Amino acid sequence: MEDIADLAIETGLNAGASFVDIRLEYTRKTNLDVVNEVTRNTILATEKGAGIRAFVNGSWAFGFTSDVTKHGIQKASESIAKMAITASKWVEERYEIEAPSFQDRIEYKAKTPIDETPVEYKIEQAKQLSKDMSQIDVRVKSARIIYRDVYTELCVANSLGTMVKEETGRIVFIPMCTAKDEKSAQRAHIALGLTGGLGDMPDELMLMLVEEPSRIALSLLDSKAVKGGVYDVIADPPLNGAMIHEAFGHACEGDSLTSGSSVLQDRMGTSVGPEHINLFDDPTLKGHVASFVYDWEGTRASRKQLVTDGILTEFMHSLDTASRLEMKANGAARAMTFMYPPIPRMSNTFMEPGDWNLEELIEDTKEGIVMCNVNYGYTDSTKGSFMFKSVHGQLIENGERTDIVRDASIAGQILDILPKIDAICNDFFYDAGSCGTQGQMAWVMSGGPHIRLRQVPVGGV
Amino acid sequence: MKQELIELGTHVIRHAENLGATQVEAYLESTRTIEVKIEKGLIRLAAEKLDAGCGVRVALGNKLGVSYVTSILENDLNQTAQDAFSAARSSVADPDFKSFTSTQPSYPIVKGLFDTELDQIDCEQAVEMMTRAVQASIEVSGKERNLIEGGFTAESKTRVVVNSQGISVLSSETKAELEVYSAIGTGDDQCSSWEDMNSRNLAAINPEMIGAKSAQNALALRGAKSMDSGDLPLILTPRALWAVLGTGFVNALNARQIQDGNSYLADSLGSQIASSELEIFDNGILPGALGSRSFDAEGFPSKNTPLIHSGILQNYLHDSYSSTKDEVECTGNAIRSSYRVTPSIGASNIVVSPSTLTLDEMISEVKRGVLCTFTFDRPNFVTGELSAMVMEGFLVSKGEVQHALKNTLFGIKMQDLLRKTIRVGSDIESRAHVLTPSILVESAKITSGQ
Repeated sequence: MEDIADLAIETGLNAGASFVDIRLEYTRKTNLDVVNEVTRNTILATEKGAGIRAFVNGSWAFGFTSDVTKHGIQKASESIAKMAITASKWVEERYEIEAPSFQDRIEYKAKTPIDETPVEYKIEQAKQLSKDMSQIDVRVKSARIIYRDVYTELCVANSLGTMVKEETGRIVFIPMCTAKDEKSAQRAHIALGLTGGLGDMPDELMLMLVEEPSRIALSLLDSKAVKGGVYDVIADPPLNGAMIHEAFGHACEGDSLTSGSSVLQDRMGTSVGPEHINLFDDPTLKGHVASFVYDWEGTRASRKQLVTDGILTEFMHSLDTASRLEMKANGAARAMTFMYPPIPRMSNTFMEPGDWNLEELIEDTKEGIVMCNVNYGYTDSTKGSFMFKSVHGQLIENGERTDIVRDASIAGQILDILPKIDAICNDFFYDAGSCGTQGQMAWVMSGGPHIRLRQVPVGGV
Repeated sequence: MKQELIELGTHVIRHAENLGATQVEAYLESTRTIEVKIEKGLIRLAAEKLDAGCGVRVALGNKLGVSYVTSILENDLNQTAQDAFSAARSSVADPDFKSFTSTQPSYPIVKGLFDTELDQIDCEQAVEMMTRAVQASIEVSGKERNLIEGGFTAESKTRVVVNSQGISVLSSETKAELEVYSAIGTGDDQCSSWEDMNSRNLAAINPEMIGAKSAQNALALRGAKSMDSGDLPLILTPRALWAVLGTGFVNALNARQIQDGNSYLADSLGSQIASSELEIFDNGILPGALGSRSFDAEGFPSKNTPLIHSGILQNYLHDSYSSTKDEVECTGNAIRSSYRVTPSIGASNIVVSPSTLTLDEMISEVKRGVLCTFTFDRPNFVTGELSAMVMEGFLVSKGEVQHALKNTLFGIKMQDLLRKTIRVGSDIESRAHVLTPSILVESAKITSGQ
């Protein structure tokens, strides 16, 4: 593998590139979709190949090949370097890629490694979860378990001397429940994930996979569609996490700064929210699904404190964005597979807990809405606007929880939303999700405590 | 290469049959993509991607297994046939699976799906298209700061479906997409928007129009304000309907979701679900259209399927599995964006028949309401409830556009959106696989806040 990487780098440099890097990947995936104990989809897949980038005078070229023979790599690397030279004619901003190099090897260790576990065992586990969910209540009509695992051997090398090999195993469970009675049908799901092996998920989370989606779907049977209006909103940890991710995290990604489009442009060191807010992105947390030791450019990953006591303190960088902005590369570059160039991404993103007790906060809120879980969300960092949709919620009237509501959504402006947070609870929870940026999906975790937002527009039907 | 893909597919079928498979389907693709991305109006990345791979589905009785590999080398294909076989062996039998698509008498000839110029485009030509679009955006924004992002992608793909039931089909298709985002001005005056264009033909892509339109769209959003909330008329333009119809309506017609009861259109076949203004088709044989193809992802012939006629729901969208289960004719709606994705049900081209009413005439009919020109939201598919952010939109008052909107959402049930469509426009636009004019919805819940 080293020989092939060295050959790609040497060929690219000889063809005129000033920086070359390569990702050699071998991935085995298992995707299972089990509905009421019947397999809908059983997929075993292999992704193998090399992604190569060449850099010349501020211009990048990228290509990939599944032909990782010496001939295949040489041909690809030369053509990519030539493309970078062609594209560099249209570039005005000249800079070089400067970064420290790393040499390391990270092995995958697990009690029950995913790459050595037969698919039959994984199917049995998914069937059992599906069976347990359908037995919770007669109104559970569809107990669906989506199981995904990915074992990857990734070798990243570049012309600065980096040569990092990292093996990882990731598992994600997405249990979905459809409950039905004579009045309506409702659906709910959660997502939990980890890096490690089978059996590494704690028992309480395994139980949650079965109980949480069915609890939510059943409670939604008696729900009302929320009425649109301006509310005091208490966001639960998954929704808070999604809000941090959508409303703030994307604007902290290095490439939204180099493009000049981030609303956080020129805001480093300034106040972006109340003093009690601290936000992090941390790929070094052990065992989370978005954790890694080295990023997809071979830079050692690090914990990033995006906001410290309300002050914007750090961004997420790739080699490119760090070099251009003359900041330190901090290991945030990720690529979906070797078929995509690495770009700055979030990993495990969260808000630090505060000191409010949730029940006291509800009592204090008087009139409002508790909004829970995330259906989906998105952001437009140039406009500074975001939107996300919760799955379920509960109205607060006279300081007490009343009617269950569904499908409420929050929309707002990135810089307006943090100042609206006036209370942060002392609880905490993480959930897994997948984030799509520039056509690349990545597993992420987001979380935090319950928080209260004052007077935000909530969309309803 | 083209004939070789058929031979490789046939090899996969034989290999899996030798392992003991009862039925096998191989889906192979060979794709060349040229891509150019810009940032701050300058080239950021050029890419050439050569992707060839194979997706395999194996049936062992009615146990199904799927695999794919990002390669078409013989050893890798043998491994992926083995993987699909292992997956099938360990699966639970699905009594509703009967067969992959069997031999078909004929296939439609769909014109305009392949463009030689696009097939042979190089990186320099792609850069030139992009720079023309950038220039056009700058000409509109003048001396103001204009941060332009965007990209141009040209793709030439050959796809092959071969199966053990007699299907062996091949098709070559090209497509191009040019998109431009313009963020104009600074501080509170900053406004941004986008424009894009897709075509199967390079000559149809107009970089000057896309660049200029993206800047014009952005400038129109300057001075956005919120508005008073209420139940008001709502105009949705083709740019907004791309998500509302292309996802919100199409996914509800997915026959597998209908069979599971996960759709607000379940039990609606033959019922009046929409206003008589709406005529909607799923047309897979429209010449040159982006969603057109002569056969679907399982090798079933494409057709033009009526979905809504005189307000009555005519058909759901079927693949071979769902049509066999429902004992109805297949509509040829198996889709597969890549060999790396398993086939699912989706639209080919969603086509809404236009009337003669212009968008200006439609706006002039609205005393007070909202003109939404872009949203990205999708409904709850079980209940049909849609709560959508007006990503780009305007307040309409006394028949005229007043100002752009911010922090504004609209809420409506999809069932009501279809029934309360009181006007259909003439301004038909093609946005990816959705071809529609603007529509006027009688009333939606508008929520707006600071």
